[in-house]
Amino acid sequence: MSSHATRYACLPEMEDLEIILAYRERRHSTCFRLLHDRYAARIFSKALTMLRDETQAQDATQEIFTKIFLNLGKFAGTAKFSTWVYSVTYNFCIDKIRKEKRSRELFADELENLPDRAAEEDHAGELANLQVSELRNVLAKLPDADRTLLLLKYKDGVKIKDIALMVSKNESAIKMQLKRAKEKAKRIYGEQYNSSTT
Amino acid sequence: MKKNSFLQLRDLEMAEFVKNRQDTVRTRVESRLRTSEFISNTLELFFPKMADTFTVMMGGEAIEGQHDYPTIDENELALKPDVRHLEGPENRGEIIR
Repeated sequence: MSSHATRYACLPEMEDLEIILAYRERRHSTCFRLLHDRYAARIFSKALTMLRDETQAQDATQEIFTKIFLNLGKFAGTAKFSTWVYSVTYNFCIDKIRKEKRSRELFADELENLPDRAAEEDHAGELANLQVSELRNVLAKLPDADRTLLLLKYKDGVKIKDIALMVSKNESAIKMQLKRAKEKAKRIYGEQYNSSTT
Repeated sequence: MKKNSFLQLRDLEMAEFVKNRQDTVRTRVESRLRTSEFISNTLELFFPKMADTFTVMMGGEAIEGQHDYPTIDENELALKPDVRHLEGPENRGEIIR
Protein backbone atom coordinates (compact mmCIF):
# COMPACT_ATOMS: atom_id res chain seq x y z
CA MET A 1 0.00 0.00 0.00
CA SER A 2 1.31 3.47 -0.81
CA SER A 3 2.24 5.81 1.97
CA HIS A 4 0.03 8.57 0.53
CA ALA A 5 -2.63 7.58 2.99
CA THR A 6 -0.61 8.40 6.04
CA ARG A 7 1.46 11.31 4.81
CA TYR A 8 -0.82 13.37 2.59
CA ALA A 9 -4.43 14.29 2.10
CA CYS A 10 -6.41 11.77 0.08
CA LEU A 11 -6.11 11.57 -3.67
CA PRO A 12 -8.79 10.47 -6.15
CA GLU A 13 -6.72 7.56 -7.46
CA MET A 14 -6.43 6.01 -3.99
CA GLU A 15 -8.20 2.75 -3.11
CA ASP A 16 -11.07 2.80 -0.60
CA LEU A 17 -8.99 1.23 2.16
CA GLU A 18 -6.20 3.79 1.78
CA ILE A 19 -8.70 6.62 2.02
CA ILE A 20 -10.31 5.05 5.09
CA LEU A 21 -6.94 4.70 6.85
CA ALA A 22 -6.07 8.31 6.03
CA TYR A 23 -9.47 9.51 7.22
CA ARG A 24 -9.14 7.59 10.47
CA GLU A 25 -5.77 9.14 11.08
CA ARG A 26 -6.32 12.74 10.06
CA ARG A 27 -10.08 13.28 9.71
CA HIS A 28 -9.27 15.21 6.56
CA SER A 29 -12.32 16.58 4.78
CA THR A 30 -10.91 15.63 1.36
CA CYS A 31 -10.93 11.98 2.42
CA PHE A 32 -14.53 12.32 3.56
CA ARG A 33 -15.55 13.96 0.28
CA LEU A 34 -13.84 11.34 -1.84
CA LEU A 35 -15.51 8.44 -0.08
CA HIS A 36 -18.84 10.24 0.04
CA ASP A 37 -18.88 11.14 -3.63
CA ARG A 38 -17.76 7.65 -4.60
CA TYR A 39 -20.71 5.95 -2.86
CA ALA A 40 -23.50 8.43 -2.16
CA ALA A 41 -25.23 8.14 -5.55
CA ARG A 42 -25.13 4.34 -5.45
CA ILE A 43 -26.53 4.32 -1.92
CA PHE A 44 -29.28 6.71 -3.02
CA SER A 45 -30.20 4.50 -5.98
CA LYS A 46 -30.40 1.39 -3.77
CA ALA A 47 -32.37 3.21 -1.08
CA LEU A 48 -34.76 4.46 -3.77
CA THR A 49 -35.39 0.87 -4.89
CA MET A 50 -36.36 -0.10 -1.36
CA LEU A 51 -38.12 3.00 -0.09
CA ARG A 52 -39.72 4.13 -3.37
CA ASP A 53 -39.65 7.80 -2.42
CA GLU A 54 -36.91 10.24 -3.39
CA THR A 55 -37.09 12.35 -0.22
CA GLN A 56 -37.00 9.27 1.98
CA ALA A 57 -34.14 7.87 -0.07
CA GLN A 58 -32.21 11.13 0.36
CA ASP A 59 -32.79 11.11 4.13
CA ALA A 60 -31.76 7.47 4.23
CA THR A 61 -28.56 8.26 2.32
CA GLN A 62 -27.71 10.89 4.96
CA GLU A 63 -28.42 8.51 7.84
CA ILE A 64 -26.49 5.67 6.23
CA PHE A 65 -23.46 7.84 5.53
CA THR A 66 -23.43 9.24 9.06
CA LYS A 67 -23.64 5.70 10.39
CA ILE A 68 -20.85 4.50 8.11
CA PHE A 69 -18.49 7.33 9.06
CA LEU A 70 -19.20 7.04 12.77
CA ASN A 71 -18.41 3.33 12.56
CA LEU A 72 -15.48 3.57 10.20
CA GLY A 73 -13.18 2.50 13.03
CA LYS A 74 -14.95 -0.87 13.11
CA PHE A 75 -14.28 -1.56 9.43
CA ALA A 76 -11.58 -4.19 9.54
CA GLY A 77 -10.91 -4.34 5.81
CA THR A 78 -11.49 -8.09 5.58
CA ALA A 79 -14.40 -7.58 3.16
CA LYS A 80 -14.60 -4.97 0.41
CA PHE A 81 -15.73 -1.56 1.62
CA SER A 82 -18.46 -1.52 -1.04
CA THR A 83 -19.88 -4.81 0.29
CA TRP A 84 -20.00 -3.36 3.80
CA VAL A 85 -21.62 -0.14 2.57
CA TYR A 86 -24.33 -1.97 0.63
CA SER A 87 -25.11 -4.31 3.50
CA VAL A 88 -25.48 -1.31 5.84
CA THR A 89 -27.74 0.29 3.20
CA TYR A 90 -30.05 -2.70 2.80
CA ASN A 91 -30.21 -3.38 6.54
CA PHE A 92 -31.07 0.25 7.20
CA CYS A 93 -33.83 0.26 4.58
CA ILE A 94 -35.28 -3.05 5.78
CA ASP A 95 -35.34 -1.76 9.38
CA LYS A 96 -37.06 1.40 8.20
CA ILE A 97 -39.65 -0.56 6.22
CA ARG A 98 -40.27 -2.87 9.18
CA LYS A 99 -40.67 0.07 11.54
CA GLU A 100 -43.26 1.53 9.21
CA LYS A 101 -44.92 -1.90 9.13
CA ARG A 102 -44.77 -2.01 5.37
CA SER A 103 -42.85 -5.29 5.20
CA ARG A 104 -45.93 -7.41 4.67
CA GLU A 105 -47.02 -5.12 1.91
CA LEU A 106 -43.59 -5.13 0.34
CA PHE A 107 -42.49 -8.74 0.54
CA ALA A 108 -45.84 -10.23 0.72
CA ASP A 109 -48.17 -13.13 0.59
CA GLU A 110 -47.26 -14.38 -2.85
CA LEU A 111 -43.99 -15.57 -1.37
CA GLU A 112 -45.58 -18.01 1.04
CA ASN A 113 -45.41 -21.77 0.47
CA LEU A 114 -44.53 -21.86 -3.16
CA PRO A 115 -43.46 -25.12 -4.78
CA ASP A 116 -39.81 -25.42 -5.76
CA ARG A 117 -40.32 -25.25 -9.51
CA ALA A 118 -39.21 -21.80 -10.55
CA ALA A 119 -36.58 -21.43 -13.23
CA GLU A 120 -33.37 -19.50 -12.62
CA GLU A 121 -34.17 -15.87 -13.37
CA ASP A 122 -30.83 -14.41 -14.24
CA HIS A 123 -31.81 -12.27 -17.19
CA ALA A 124 -34.26 -9.45 -17.39
CA GLY A 125 -35.12 -10.67 -20.91
CA GLU A 126 -37.20 -8.34 -23.06
CA LEU A 127 -37.59 -5.85 -20.21
CA ALA A 128 -33.90 -5.03 -20.52
CA ASN A 129 -34.44 -3.84 -24.09
CA LEU A 130 -37.16 -1.31 -23.33
CA GLN A 131 -36.57 2.43 -23.47
CA VAL A 132 -35.95 3.86 -19.99
CA SER A 133 -39.17 5.90 -20.18
CA GLU A 134 -41.12 2.75 -21.12
CA LEU A 135 -39.52 0.80 -18.30
CA ARG A 136 -40.41 3.57 -15.84
CA ASN A 137 -44.04 3.51 -16.97
CA VAL A 138 -44.26 -0.25 -16.72
CA LEU A 139 -42.63 -0.31 -13.26
CA ALA A 140 -45.00 2.42 -12.04
CA LYS A 141 -47.95 0.19 -12.85
CA LEU A 142 -46.60 -2.90 -11.11
CA PRO A 143 -47.51 -3.81 -7.51
CA ASP A 144 -44.89 -2.59 -4.99
CA ALA A 145 -43.54 -6.03 -4.17
CA ASP A 146 -42.98 -6.92 -7.85
CA ARG A 147 -41.40 -3.58 -8.67
CA THR A 148 -38.99 -3.77 -5.73
CA LEU A 149 -38.01 -7.32 -6.60
CA LEU A 150 -37.32 -6.51 -10.27
CA LEU A 151 -35.25 -3.45 -9.33
CA LEU A 152 -33.29 -5.27 -6.64
CA LYS A 153 -32.40 -8.03 -9.06
CA TYR A 154 -31.82 -6.21 -12.34
CA LYS A 155 -31.04 -2.61 -11.41
CA ASP A 156 -29.03 -3.17 -8.22
CA GLY A 157 -27.70 -6.60 -9.14
CA VAL A 158 -28.56 -8.24 -5.80
CA LYS A 159 -28.26 -12.04 -5.96
CA ILE A 160 -31.39 -14.13 -5.45
CA LYS A 161 -29.94 -15.80 -2.37
CA ASP A 162 -29.27 -12.37 -0.85
CA ILE A 163 -32.79 -11.16 -1.63
CA ALA A 164 -34.08 -14.36 -0.01
CA LEU A 165 -32.01 -13.63 3.11
CA MET A 166 -33.21 -10.04 3.14
CA VAL A 167 -36.88 -10.97 3.18
CA SER A 168 -36.45 -14.24 5.14
CA LYS A 169 -37.86 -16.44 2.38
CA ASN A 170 -36.43 -19.32 0.41
CA GLU A 171 -34.75 -18.87 -2.95
CA SER A 172 -37.40 -20.78 -4.90
CA ALA A 173 -40.09 -18.45 -3.63
CA ILE A 174 -38.08 -15.44 -4.77
CA LYS A 175 -37.43 -16.97 -8.19
CA MET A 176 -41.11 -17.69 -8.61
CA GLN A 177 -42.14 -14.18 -7.65
CA LEU A 178 -39.52 -12.76 -9.98
CA LYS A 179 -40.86 -14.87 -12.83
CA ARG A 180 -44.41 -13.68 -12.15
CA ALA A 181 -43.27 -10.07 -11.84
CA LYS A 182 -41.61 -10.25 -15.24
CA GLU A 183 -44.72 -11.77 -16.77
CA LYS A 184 -46.87 -9.00 -15.29
CA ALA A 185 -44.43 -6.36 -16.54
CA LYS A 186 -44.50 -7.80 -20.06
CA ARG A 187 -48.29 -7.90 -20.00
CA ILE A 188 -48.46 -4.28 -18.87
CA TYR A 189 -46.01 -3.30 -21.57
CA GLY A 190 -48.07 -5.15 -24.18
CA GLU A 191 -51.27 -3.44 -23.08
CA GLN A 192 -49.70 -0.03 -22.90
CA TYR A 193 -47.61 0.00 -26.03
CA ASN A 194 -49.67 -2.47 -28.03
CA SER A 195 -46.58 -4.54 -28.66
CA SER A 196 -46.36 -8.27 -29.29
CA THR A 197 -44.53 -9.24 -26.11
CA THR A 198 -44.84 -12.88 -25.06
CA MET B 1 -23.81 -2.18 -27.62
CA LYS B 2 -27.00 -0.87 -26.02
CA LYS B 3 -27.03 -0.87 -22.25
CA ASN B 4 -29.63 -2.83 -20.28
CA SER B 5 -32.56 -0.48 -19.55
CA PHE B 6 -32.42 -1.30 -15.83
CA LEU B 7 -28.80 -0.16 -15.74
CA GLN B 8 -29.69 2.95 -17.72
CA LEU B 9 -32.38 3.67 -15.16
CA ARG B 10 -29.82 3.28 -12.36
CA ASP B 11 -27.41 5.63 -14.14
CA LEU B 12 -30.16 8.21 -14.57
CA GLU B 13 -31.08 8.04 -10.87
CA MET B 14 -27.45 8.41 -9.89
CA ALA B 15 -26.92 11.34 -12.26
CA GLU B 16 -30.03 13.04 -10.88
CA PHE B 17 -28.71 12.56 -7.35
CA VAL B 18 -25.28 13.96 -8.20
CA LYS B 19 -26.83 16.98 -9.91
CA ASN B 20 -29.52 17.90 -7.40
CA ARG B 21 -28.90 16.25 -4.05
CA GLN B 22 -25.30 15.23 -3.52
CA ASP B 23 -24.04 18.58 -2.18
CA THR B 24 -26.93 18.90 0.28
CA VAL B 25 -26.41 15.38 1.58
CA ARG B 26 -22.65 15.87 1.90
CA THR B 27 -23.05 19.13 3.80
CA ARG B 28 -25.59 17.63 6.20
CA VAL B 29 -23.49 14.52 6.88
CA GLU B 30 -20.39 16.67 7.45
CA SER B 31 -22.30 18.84 9.87
CA ARG B 32 -23.64 15.80 11.77
CA LEU B 33 -20.17 14.30 12.00
CA ARG B 34 -18.75 17.57 13.31
CA THR B 35 -21.50 17.80 15.93
CA SER B 36 -20.95 14.23 17.01
CA GLU B 37 -17.18 14.77 17.19
CA PHE B 38 -17.69 17.94 19.25
CA ILE B 39 -19.98 16.13 21.70
CA SER B 40 -17.62 13.18 22.09
CA ASN B 41 -14.60 15.50 22.60
CA THR B 42 -16.53 17.53 25.16
CA LEU B 43 -17.52 14.40 27.05
CA GLU B 44 -13.99 13.08 26.92
CA LEU B 45 -12.58 16.34 28.32
CA PHE B 46 -15.18 17.18 30.93
CA PHE B 47 -16.61 13.89 32.06
CA PRO B 48 -13.67 13.05 34.40
CA LYS B 49 -13.97 16.51 36.01
CA MET B 50 -17.71 16.13 36.40
CA ALA B 51 -17.22 12.69 37.92
CA ASP B 52 -14.71 14.15 40.40
CA THR B 53 -17.06 16.99 41.29
CA PHE B 54 -19.85 14.54 41.91
CA THR B 55 -17.58 12.31 44.04
CA VAL B 56 -16.47 15.28 46.17
CA MET B 57 -20.09 16.42 46.60
CA MET B 58 -20.91 12.94 47.87
CA GLY B 59 -18.13 13.19 50.44
CA GLY B 60 -15.39 11.30 48.65
CA GLU B 61 -12.06 12.39 47.31
CA ALA B 62 -11.29 13.43 43.80
CA ILE B 63 -9.09 11.09 41.82
CA GLU B 64 -5.99 13.01 40.97
CA GLY B 65 -3.97 11.90 38.06
CA GLN B 66 -0.29 11.15 38.51
CA HIS B 67 1.59 14.05 36.97
CA ASP B 68 4.85 12.26 36.39
CA TYR B 69 5.45 8.64 35.62
CA PRO B 70 8.87 7.71 37.15
CA THR B 71 10.65 4.61 36.00
CA ILE B 72 11.70 2.12 38.70
CA ASP B 73 15.20 3.65 38.81
CA GLU B 74 13.81 7.16 39.32
CA ASN B 75 11.27 6.13 41.91
CA GLU B 76 12.89 6.91 45.30
CA LEU B 77 10.27 5.02 47.21
CA ALA B 78 10.98 1.81 45.33
CA LEU B 79 14.74 2.15 45.94
CA LYS B 80 14.54 2.58 49.75
CA PRO B 81 15.79 -0.60 51.44
CA ASP B 82 13.45 -0.26 54.41
CA VAL B 83 10.32 -0.24 52.33
CA ARG B 84 8.13 -2.99 53.65
CA HIS B 85 7.40 -5.56 51.00
CA LEU B 86 4.14 -7.38 50.79
CA GLU B 87 4.09 -10.59 52.74
CA GLY B 88 4.59 -13.51 50.48
CA PRO B 89 5.09 -17.23 50.69
CA GLU B 90 8.34 -16.76 52.79
CA ASN B 91 6.27 -15.93 55.89
CA ARG B 92 5.27 -19.54 56.26
CA GLY B 93 4.87 -19.29 60.03
CA GLU B 94 1.89 -17.04 59.65
CA ILE B 95 0.05 -19.36 57.39
CA ILE B 96 -2.92 -20.81 59.21
CA ARG B 97 -3.30 -24.48 58.44
